[in-house]
Formats: sequence, C-alpha cells, structure tokens
Amino acid sequence: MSDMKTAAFDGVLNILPYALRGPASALPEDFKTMAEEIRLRVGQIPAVLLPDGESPLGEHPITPRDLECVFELASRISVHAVSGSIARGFITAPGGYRVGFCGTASVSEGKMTGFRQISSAALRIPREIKGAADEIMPRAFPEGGLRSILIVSPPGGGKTTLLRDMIRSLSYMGRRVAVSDERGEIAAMSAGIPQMDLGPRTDVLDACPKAQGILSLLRCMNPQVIAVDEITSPEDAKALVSAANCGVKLLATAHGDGLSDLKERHIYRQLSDSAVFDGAVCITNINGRRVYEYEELGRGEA
Amino acid sequence: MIRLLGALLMLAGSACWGFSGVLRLNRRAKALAALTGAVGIIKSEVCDRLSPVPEVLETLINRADKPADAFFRRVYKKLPKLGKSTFPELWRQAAEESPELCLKETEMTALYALGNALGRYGAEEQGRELDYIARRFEGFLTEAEAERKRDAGMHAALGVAAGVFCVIILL
Repeated sequence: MSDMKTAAFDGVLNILPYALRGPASALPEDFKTMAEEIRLRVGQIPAVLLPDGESPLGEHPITPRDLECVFELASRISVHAVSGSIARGFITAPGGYRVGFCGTASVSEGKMTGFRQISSAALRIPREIKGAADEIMPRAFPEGGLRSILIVSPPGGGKTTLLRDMIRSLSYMGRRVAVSDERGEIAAMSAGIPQMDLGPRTDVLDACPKAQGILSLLRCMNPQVIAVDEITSPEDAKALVSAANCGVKLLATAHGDGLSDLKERHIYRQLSDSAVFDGAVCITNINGRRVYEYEELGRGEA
Repeated sequence: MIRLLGALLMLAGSACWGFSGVLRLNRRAKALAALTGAVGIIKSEVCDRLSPVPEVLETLINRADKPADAFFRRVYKKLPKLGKSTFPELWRQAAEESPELCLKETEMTALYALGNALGRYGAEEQGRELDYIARRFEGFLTEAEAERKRDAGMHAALGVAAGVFCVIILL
C-alpha cells in the first residue's frame, strides 16, 4: 500500500540527477505522499514543496550540470520532439511529470523558443487519487445526467487530480469521454497507453494544442463529454463554445481564486456569455485539506 | 627443415602484417560509409518524424550498416546512465569503446560533434547541423576510399616483400 502511495514520488526520481536520487528516496513516507513539487535552483539546496512550504532535500547545492541532466532526462534528449512546449517553458516528462524551467530565454522573432541557460526547474508530481471526485459527483451530475463543469483553483490546488477522477467516474458510468491532453498531464500517455486510469470509455488525444484537439475530437470521436485542462487562451475558449454548441458536455479547469476572480477575465466572460458551463467546482485549501464547493452557474456567471 | 619452417612463418607473419593494413583501410572506409548513411537516417527521424533520440537509436541499431550499428547499440545501452553523465559524455565514451570504427582523430571529432548536436536543438537547427556533419563524413569517406585504392596494394606488397627480404637475409 505504501508503495502505491509513494509511486508518483518514486517515479520522479527517474528525472532527477543521480546525486539527488539518494536523498529523495530516503525521505519519510509522509513527505513522499504529500510532496507536490521538487524545486531545483542553481547554487541553492534543492527543496521539496509540501502543502505547508518548502523543505530542504539533501545538502549539496544544485549545479548548472544538474539542471542540464534534468533537461535531458525530461526531454528524453530530444529538444526537437518537445520544442512546442519548451517555448512555453515546460516539458512533460515520461509518466506525466510536468517540469517547468526558468533561465535565460532564447527568443526568435519576438517569441520565446527555448532556453540558452537554465537556472531553475520545478518538477511537479502528478497525483492520481481514485475517489477524489466521489463527494462532488452527485452534486455536479444529479441523477447521473450530463452537465458541463468548470473546476477552479489556484495553481497547485488539485484541479487536474479532480478532473482526472471525474473523467474516470463518468467513463465508468458508461459515458464516452474524449480528453484533449495538450500537456500530457491528465493521462500521462506512454507508448500510446494512458499511465493514469481514465476509465474504459475514454479516448485521449495528447500533445496537440487544446483548441485543435477539441475540434478534432468533436469531428472524429463522437464524444458525449470533452475534457481539457487549463483554459488559457481565447482559442481554447472559442473551441469550447463550438463544442458546447454541438451538444457536447465539457469538463475543464481554470486557474483562479474563485469564480469572482474568473469573472474579471475576458476569456471567461466570453464563456459565461455563451453559458457554456452549468456548474463550477471551486477548490480551496483549508488547514492543508482540499475542500470542494459546488456552485450552479447561469448565463453571465462563467 | 627447421630453417625452412622458420622462413615460412616469417613470410606468413610479414604478409599478415601487410594484409592487416589493407583490412584496416577497408574497415575505415566501410565504417565511414555506414556512419554517412546513419546520419541520413538520423536526419529523417529527427527532422521528419520528430522521433525522440532513444527511438532514433533503436532505429539505427536495426537499420544502420555494420560496424556503425554496434556503436549505436553501445550508446543505447548507456542511456540508463543519463543523470550521472550527460548524453554527449555517454556518446563520447561509446565512441572511445568502438575501435572497430578505425576512425582517425579528425573523424572521431566529427563523430563527437554528432553526439553534441543530437537532440540539442529544434528540428530545423539540427537538420542544418546534420547536413554539415554528413558533408564532413562524405569528405572523410572520399578520402578513405582514395587512400584505400592508393595504399591497399602497397600495404599487401610491402608485407610480402618484407617477409621475402627477411627470409633471403636469414637463409
């Protein structure tokens, strides 16, 4: 059982430099279970991010070579295969680990294309918590009916974990769910096989820009529900409106400090004007515990 | 009888020395031809299919000609050491453990450059780098072929002649 709990953390060891693997694997089990990220910064002692803050990991400061190793491991020594996501500052490593990078950017024609020098890395540890959505499912989908739901929380709040479990639950309820998994964090595909349990009736399109992915899934897979993580661009919102107009229900996540925060943003006003979502789940952290609050939405409410 | 046997052994040893030179010239040309072909495969995999480097290496193990295939297998087997060493370091170690390639120093430098470039840039930039490395290998291959044509006969003749000379002197 403890192996199952720490499996996600143990997986991240594969993208750490050798010198860090020992201290990381020697961490107490509760640290491994709660760890959200591993933070590496040049010249600083590495740290593991826990719900109540960062805790040091090992004794040796990170060198530029350590970060080069992380970059090679996360990208599978293949910048050409991940250049699209590097341009946005991150790589999704095998196993669905999102590794964000910081440093001296290389810019071409006004757009960031990658990094000349890396100074920091944040290795996010994905969580698969089966049953995370059990509490919210009866409220979000009363009597098993399909509805479009938006999940809102600040970064690191557990949106993707909840989204993943909602997808799994709907799929086991007999619904056809299609996932546009641009960053590969929802399904963590490896050799065409999802590494996370998304249920028996789920189709995954990964590594494709979300907006294109939504429209492609709509055309090709006849889904009842389309799920996407992190709506960030007007193109994403436009594609969601198109899908909603075709009668497909949506599951999506958004960064935000609650619904009132979202209403300030243009992208969400566009979605609320079209009444795309029927309800929203807001995740808040109370004393290190995630609390889900469900709200019905009407036109103009997100 | 013993003198005759000794003379024959000396002749054979000397001829072998000459023919090993011929063999080395042949091997070098063959290795450079195989590496030139491999760079073409790498370019297709990287620039057209955007395959990750581990998959490129798997393809090379199956499709590259001998003796380059053994070199790529060596690099592939070293991949679990990533994190301890960088990819260019592993590539360099594999090259140094591949005497069957019979490469000269400048040719080894070009092989190291291939390891430094592989997977390091976007597809377009790598394509340009791979084209440059391919041209270098083609140049080395032309040179090696010319050297083989020019020197192979001389190596064999020198080996045999040296043996005959020693036999005459000693007998």
